[in-house]
Amino acid sequence: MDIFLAHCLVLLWMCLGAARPLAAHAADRLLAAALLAWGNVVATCLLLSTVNRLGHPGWFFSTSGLLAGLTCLLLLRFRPAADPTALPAGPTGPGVNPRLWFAFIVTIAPLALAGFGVAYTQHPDSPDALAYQLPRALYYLGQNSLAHFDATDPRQVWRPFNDSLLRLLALVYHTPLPVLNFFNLAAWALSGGAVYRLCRLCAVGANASLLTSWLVLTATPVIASAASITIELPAGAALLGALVFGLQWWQTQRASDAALAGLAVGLAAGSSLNILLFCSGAGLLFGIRAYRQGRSEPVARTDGSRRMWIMPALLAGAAGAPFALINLAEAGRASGPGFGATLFRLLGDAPPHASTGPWPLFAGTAHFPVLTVDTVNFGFTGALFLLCAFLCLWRFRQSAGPVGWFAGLGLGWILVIYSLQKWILPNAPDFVPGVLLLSPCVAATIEANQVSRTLPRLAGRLILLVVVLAAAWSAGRYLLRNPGRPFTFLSSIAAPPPAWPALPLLVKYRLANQAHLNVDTDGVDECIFPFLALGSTERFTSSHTTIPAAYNLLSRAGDSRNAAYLNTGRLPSYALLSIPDKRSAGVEFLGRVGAGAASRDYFGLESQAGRTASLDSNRTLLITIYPETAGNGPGHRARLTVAGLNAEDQLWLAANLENVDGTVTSLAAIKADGATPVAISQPFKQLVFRAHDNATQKEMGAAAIPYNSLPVAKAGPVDLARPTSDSSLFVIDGLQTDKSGPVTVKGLLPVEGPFPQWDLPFLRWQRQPAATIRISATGRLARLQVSFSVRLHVRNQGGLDVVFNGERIQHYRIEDRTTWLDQTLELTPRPGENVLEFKDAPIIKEQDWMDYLERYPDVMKHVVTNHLPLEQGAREHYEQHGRAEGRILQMTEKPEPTPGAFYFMYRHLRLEGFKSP
Amino acid sequence: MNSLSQNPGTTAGQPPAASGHRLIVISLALCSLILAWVGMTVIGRSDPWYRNLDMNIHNVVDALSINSSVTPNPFAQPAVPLKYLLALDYRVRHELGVLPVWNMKKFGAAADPLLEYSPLVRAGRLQQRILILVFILCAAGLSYTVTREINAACLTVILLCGSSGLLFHGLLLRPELMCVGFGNVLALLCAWRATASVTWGRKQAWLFLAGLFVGLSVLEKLPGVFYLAVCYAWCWLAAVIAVREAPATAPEDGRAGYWSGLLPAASGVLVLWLVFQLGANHPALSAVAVQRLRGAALLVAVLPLLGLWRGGHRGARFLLERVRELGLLGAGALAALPLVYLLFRAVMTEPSASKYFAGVLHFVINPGPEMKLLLSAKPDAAREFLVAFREAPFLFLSAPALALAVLWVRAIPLRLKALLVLLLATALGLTLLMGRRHFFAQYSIFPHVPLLLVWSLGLTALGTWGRRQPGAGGVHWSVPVAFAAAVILALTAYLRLQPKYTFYQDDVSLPVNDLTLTFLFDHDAHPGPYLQTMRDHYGDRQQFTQNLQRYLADPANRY
Repeated sequence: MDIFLAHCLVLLWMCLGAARPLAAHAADRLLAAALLAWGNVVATCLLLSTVNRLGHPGWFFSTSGLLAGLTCLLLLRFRPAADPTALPAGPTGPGVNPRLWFAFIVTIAPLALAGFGVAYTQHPDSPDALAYQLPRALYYLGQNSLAHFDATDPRQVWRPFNDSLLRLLALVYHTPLPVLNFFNLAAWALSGGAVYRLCRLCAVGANASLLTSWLVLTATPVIASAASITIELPAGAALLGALVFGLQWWQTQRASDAALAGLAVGLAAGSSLNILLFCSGAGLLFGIRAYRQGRSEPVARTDGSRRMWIMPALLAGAAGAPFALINLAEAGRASGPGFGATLFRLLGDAPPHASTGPWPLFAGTAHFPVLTVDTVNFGFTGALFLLCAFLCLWRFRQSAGPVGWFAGLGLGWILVIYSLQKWILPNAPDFVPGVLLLSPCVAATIEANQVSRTLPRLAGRLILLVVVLAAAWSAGRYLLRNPGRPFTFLSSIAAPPPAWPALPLLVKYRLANQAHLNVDTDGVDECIFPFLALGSTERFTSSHTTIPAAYNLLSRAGDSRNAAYLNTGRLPSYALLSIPDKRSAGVEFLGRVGAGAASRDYFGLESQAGRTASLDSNRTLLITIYPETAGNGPGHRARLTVAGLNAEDQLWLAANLENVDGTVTSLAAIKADGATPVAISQPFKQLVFRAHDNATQKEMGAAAIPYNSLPVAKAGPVDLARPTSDSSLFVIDGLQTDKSGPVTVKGLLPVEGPFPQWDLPFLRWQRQPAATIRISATGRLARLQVSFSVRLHVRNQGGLDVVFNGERIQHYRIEDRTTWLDQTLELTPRPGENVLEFKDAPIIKEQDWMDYLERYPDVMKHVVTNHLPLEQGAREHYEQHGRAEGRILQMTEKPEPTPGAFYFMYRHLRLEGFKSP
Repeated sequence: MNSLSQNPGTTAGQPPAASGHRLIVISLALCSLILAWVGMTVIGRSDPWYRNLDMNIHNVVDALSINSSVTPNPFAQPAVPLKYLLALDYRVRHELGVLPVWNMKKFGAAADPLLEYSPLVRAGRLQQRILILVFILCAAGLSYTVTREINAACLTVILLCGSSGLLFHGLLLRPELMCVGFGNVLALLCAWRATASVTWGRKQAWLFLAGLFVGLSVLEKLPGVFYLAVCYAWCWLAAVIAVREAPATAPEDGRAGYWSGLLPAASGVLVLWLVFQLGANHPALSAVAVQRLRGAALLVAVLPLLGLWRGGHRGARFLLERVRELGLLGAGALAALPLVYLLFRAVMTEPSASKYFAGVLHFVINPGPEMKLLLSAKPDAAREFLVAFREAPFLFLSAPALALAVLWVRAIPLRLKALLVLLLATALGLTLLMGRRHFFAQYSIFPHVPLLLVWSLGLTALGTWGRRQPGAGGVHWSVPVAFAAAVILALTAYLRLQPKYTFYQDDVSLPVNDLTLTFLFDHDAHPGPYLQTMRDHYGDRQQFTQNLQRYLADPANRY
């Protein structure tokens, strides 16, 4: 974290130094410095990627610092500092009214502080960030380069990556996750300054420009993106930078402005496909206009202008094109399926959206909706911006001023976004560039309104007042009353509220401390980032091939388990092959996340699995079959992947096709983990996988994937809540409920499961030393029967005491972490409340030094007089004198240490009370 | 306006009377210095080495530890520069061949470590006496810088040589001397120079230096942080006065916006490097301290960004300039941390220096838990103030009166008046602050020094004003009177210092009390190797007591 902050400071000041000769005004300098810093990060990533050092913090810091220093020195050496008085920056009218300036600061500062508070305390939670932006950056770091990796989600490798590279600046130093939000917060602040400058450059007065900047900063789409992770806000800020410096170039013809505009265009287009499309269109229009203008200009001037744009074009290409070049180098084409999907979404199905219409202030349907990042939308501010854009289009229809261009560009953006979404309301972040582009129109309209006739002026002011009030209310409410990302005062931060749904405990436990985690997922749009942010894992990779040196996390769709080859969801099918006598560790089922069609199953494979002894929970192979061409009928090639099969197992796997006529066709003989291409030429009955011993050829286990779905009668769970006799007073299934009738269970975590693969319908963890069952006073209660099935999970040995009403009635010693202890106990209750406890029992004996000191006051006096630590003093005394003198030393018992406080796991806990017969 | 005097302070072309006067006051100042030195030496010669062991022995043992790369335990107050200087002193003396035991290893290897205490404590006291002289000369430098009058400098020397509150610290090893020296003298001197500088480069260098001295003052003793407020208050006062005296100031140098931010940024980066260096491996540096250090580093590095805005409203520009000054002061104060850490790295191994500095930083940056133990739960400010007042009632009453007189004279420059008010406020504020605990005898230095500075500056201002009155010629009559009074004060210093020191702690009698035994033998704040050395040589506490009594039975071993 500290090196990250130091890196940011170095970048900030070096880039500010480099920006001095390039820009004169404070806002311009900051904007230029931000662009240079982002460009520096992108260049650093590209450089380090070529030498496979991307994931090394030391290399990253030194390369980036060196680049920044060189840029600063070169620019300072060869260019004098820009003189603000030499630039015709906007109109020469009066500056900002101090009262308006004061009001701006007084209203924006609390919003900035609230945004800071939210960004500081909340984990990133936008779906795109969790699905592909952040995992992509982590995978790049893990593989030390920007090359493609095995990804089912095409966005992780094909999309423009400048935004991910920006976050990479923080991820490379293993910063806390909330830090990632601050890039958007910085983009938000820069956008405010850039809007002001843009409006000023459009010859709008200072007051109207400042007011417009305020409106942009408080617009709900913008404020919603300010403390979160979205691509659109940083890319939009870069786009604004391009417009500011482009417009400045238009007025001054300074080459540095053109260069900065080119860099900004490259950064923006290299971040977002939408902006890339937009820039391509706008660039084409600009080119046509320049060409037509060039034909009517003298040749010398045209040549000079053209040469001036060589450097900006190169910068734009260098900052924006690397992702396409990498795509080209890796796959022979510049764009992946993501680009096509964006470009041709017009022709496909529109994505579903919760919106109810094109103009809601909030997309929710509630009468008074709660603002969240998903429910905010264009708002009153958006409506005002659109109105101003139309007014400007009409007003400037004859003139060639920039305000008219921005009206056209902004409306064009919104039109394209709407059309790409098939005229259904897009998400809030999609509006951000549109809002930014339309800002000069708003400023120009506000200013024009000041000099209009009385009635229109009053009406305009009234509308503005309403919008300002609504925007202030919306922005404040979004930041301060957002249930999804609640604002917390910085001083009261104890434990930030969790931003993600809880993962299964076994997943957390297994993934928390891995040095290298390899992810093998077949999920598209899978929210994978929470799995990568669990603990102190230092390296992440994504590969469909098992990496022996890494802990492999395998993710499969829940519906694809044992799914038929011809399943309707076009999913890959996977099966688990259990091998009871497997020697080395195989895949372990970790848990299921989600429910229904969106559910996903997660499996783990230990690092160096071949050299790790197997457990009950991981004597399994995971077999997945992927159709390689569209559809998964006969006549297609398929890919068969196996995980968990190690050479040390001395096994081989036979993959056979059982045909409809009963004949068997051998598809492959597999001896180790990996992918095997197979050809499936005709309809079949089922795919059968059999594991055989290498030496004896004995079948060790089998699994099958049917061709067609067959109705399978599912066995219902045993109803543990049913009484077993007429004399039963109450029954409680302690796994399913914490309170039933007179019984209350405390000390167990919520139920998890089902895990049918392991014949484990449900389980509950005891993560504290004792779990307690209280049975309140029940008349005629004469007998209790408690049955439980419990095991250790982390420790190799442990003790369990069953204590009833304060008296230990049974002590169990568990010697293996995989063995279930199944017991049934009969208890005789007392009148009134009865308490049954399951306690972690001590099994380690050690000396009781406190007892020694209490037993012998002279020793205590000696230890205290000499200011020795009590335990150490007692030990020294016993070793030197006490043992020889025959003093008594009591032994005491201690429980086995429990890593992560995983004391016990219960798969069955049932309590039944009986009356006297 | 740099000085009170409108005349340059050169001797060329001055009448013989003025030269004679200069010679007299310089001689008086030198005599006062010698007198103060003699007074301290006389008292120190008859002072047993085992007195005032609460701080003496901790600083001595920690200095020995530093020289052996053993991590000292931060205890009650950091006193980092003091321990470092003491360690250096021991090294130099060892190199000169006058001190055989200079580190913990040698101390442990000594045949009888008891014999080594006396030279070590004596060396420490001598160092403190030298520091007293340096302190007085620096204060004289402050007075001269403010007034450009040699009279003021000499008067300051004579007055401080008569201050029992200051000379008291020449007799024992305590951090208050350097805390006040860094904060009230050097930092204030730099702040004054900063506000008097014309070029932005010098201004920011002086401000940064002022912050650095405040940082060193805090590393010496926590109340040093009060001097940050003093320096910053002076920045405000000077700026307000400058606006009042010259509303149409010259346009600011455009380069300042960027370049003046580099020093704070570098300071922030250095602090972050320090946190990175210490944070990972040393749990002593708590999360709260780390968070505060990071926040402070970022703040000082980012605040100068406000300097990029040079236009706008005049009031806004004024505020932005003050914010930048705060950033520079803070940056200087923060820069003291990596600077001192690097100094320790020069004499200690990396693990020991890091562990020690992590403990120091934890104490300095997050002092709340310690302060809860140290401060009174229900401080009686009035009672404690009276304790301070009773020690020097004349000083407490006369200094404000003198300041009022100076304020009343319209011809005296506003800057000087403001400085006098600030010094009065410093004295009052620090008296109240130190009264949050109990106002002990050793805290007198906090109010005495600023009040005496008020005296010297005020008298000089009045003297200069009187000299310029119509009809006045040569040296004004008030000057000899003032000097005479100051010399009397210096001459009687011994009479005030001796009882103050004698009554300071009742630990001179034999046999030594239990507390002294604990400090010498088994205090839990001593580092492990020291405790082990003592156990190895003397066994248990009882055996040590017998050895000590036997050793001190010979009066020659007591001094």
